[in-house]
Amino acid sequence: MMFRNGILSVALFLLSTFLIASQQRVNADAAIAAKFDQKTADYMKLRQKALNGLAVPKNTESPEKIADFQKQLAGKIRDLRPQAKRGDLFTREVAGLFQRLVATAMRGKDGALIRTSFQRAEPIQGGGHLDVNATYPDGLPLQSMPPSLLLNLPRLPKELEYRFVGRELILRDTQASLIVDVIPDLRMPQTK
Amino acid sequence: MTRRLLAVFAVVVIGCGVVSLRPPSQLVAIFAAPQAAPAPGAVSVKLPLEQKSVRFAVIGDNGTGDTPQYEVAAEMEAYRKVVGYDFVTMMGDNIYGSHKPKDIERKFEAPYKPLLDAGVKFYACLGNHDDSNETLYKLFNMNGQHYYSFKKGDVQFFALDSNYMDAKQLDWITNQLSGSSAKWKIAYFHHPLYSDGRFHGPDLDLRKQLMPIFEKYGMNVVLSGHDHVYERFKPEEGIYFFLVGNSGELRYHNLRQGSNIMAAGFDTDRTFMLVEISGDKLYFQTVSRTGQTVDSGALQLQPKPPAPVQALQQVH
Repeated sequence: MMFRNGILSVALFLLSTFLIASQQRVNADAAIAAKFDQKTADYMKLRQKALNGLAVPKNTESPEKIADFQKQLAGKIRDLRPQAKRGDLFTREVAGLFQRLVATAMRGKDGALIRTSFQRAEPIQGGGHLDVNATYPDGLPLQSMPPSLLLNLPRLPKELEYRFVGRELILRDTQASLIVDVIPDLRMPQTK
Repeated sequence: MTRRLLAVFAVVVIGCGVVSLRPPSQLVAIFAAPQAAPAPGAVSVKLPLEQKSVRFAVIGDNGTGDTPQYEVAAEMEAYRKVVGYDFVTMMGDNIYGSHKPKDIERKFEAPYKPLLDAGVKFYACLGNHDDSNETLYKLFNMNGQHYYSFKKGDVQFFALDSNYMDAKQLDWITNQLSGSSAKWKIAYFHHPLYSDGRFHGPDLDLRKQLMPIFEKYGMNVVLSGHDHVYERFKPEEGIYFFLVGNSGELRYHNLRQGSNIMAAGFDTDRTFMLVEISGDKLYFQTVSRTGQTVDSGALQLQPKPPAPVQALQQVH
């Protein structure tokens, strides 16, 4: 009887330790996600500053006006963050969080669908080295993002998007076509 | 010998009878083989051209700027003069490669100039080769949005961005469809939920997210591109699917053989599709770069899905 109670106590201890550790991981990840949200919000404030004085060419028949707008917006954003570098928004801990979120999605029940979706959407290879503050290469297609993967990643304002270029995950300003930050070598784990 | 011939004849007659006995909700045209090339500029319209019908053209994966795109555009103009369609839905990859202003001119404005001059409106969605700022271009009628809706008569169109189907967009399409009272609901986007194209194939993850919404709220027709072929499918969950991804690009002989979801397919030249909707009928005609009709038929409006059942309240 005493032996059985002993085993039960040990099992309960191990289970509660595991649950506490899991909860701590969740709390830690939520804190990291909140920091990323804050950095994104800071970028959006800076972007708003860059937009001041620029006329967004809504519904123009002139491709030149759209190209000029894109160029000017990207230039003003660069001027406002001249020292921007890899890891400013995707800090080491944010990159780690993204790695875990991608791994969770890929190992989950939709992992095989996500992988197939990537393959069938024309994976981007050989985008070259993508610098922060650089313009996304003209003519390089944009890798479509599988919905089940997007649903696992932190939400973004509509002016920003995640895109894969090979194994790099970039944060892209859509109207400025500007690379805001990059996670290099985001590994896609094998699915079940 | 005569007996054997008679038996073969009887089988053929019975077989034809089975095809002709298909109910109206089934596809009328099983597969029409391309006819001989018509004389240049000649058109052979298979649509009824009924009064007050909604008529439009469908193109996909068109923006190459190469000669075949211009030839398809010339056929579209020849048919417009007879059919009188006044808008075109674009399945994405509107502009391939570079997106400099001269590219927009060469890959869109120049080939479709006769249509644009005639007042035809183009409603684009984005493909994986498109740039987000195409949404700002007035001639694509996207009003700065990556996904949007518009109505024409009894038909409501939902142009989606299948490159980036995030939670916001899924919420948007759910809300739009749940609030729509349109008789016909047509969604279009770049990546196909069904495809027998060997190069890409269907986007199964997108299908998993969208099909439950489409089924629940009674989507009638779904149009896509991405695979550079033409394909029409047997109804899936009661929804009619078309793939028009060869209005500029082409992947020759790319359709999988022996598919059990295909109703008709064409992968040896470029095409565009004409659609006419009148009352409960949708008529379609797919025309090749050289003016051959490669598929045509009529589809019946599906019955509306049952209204969502309210959860039963527990009686104490």
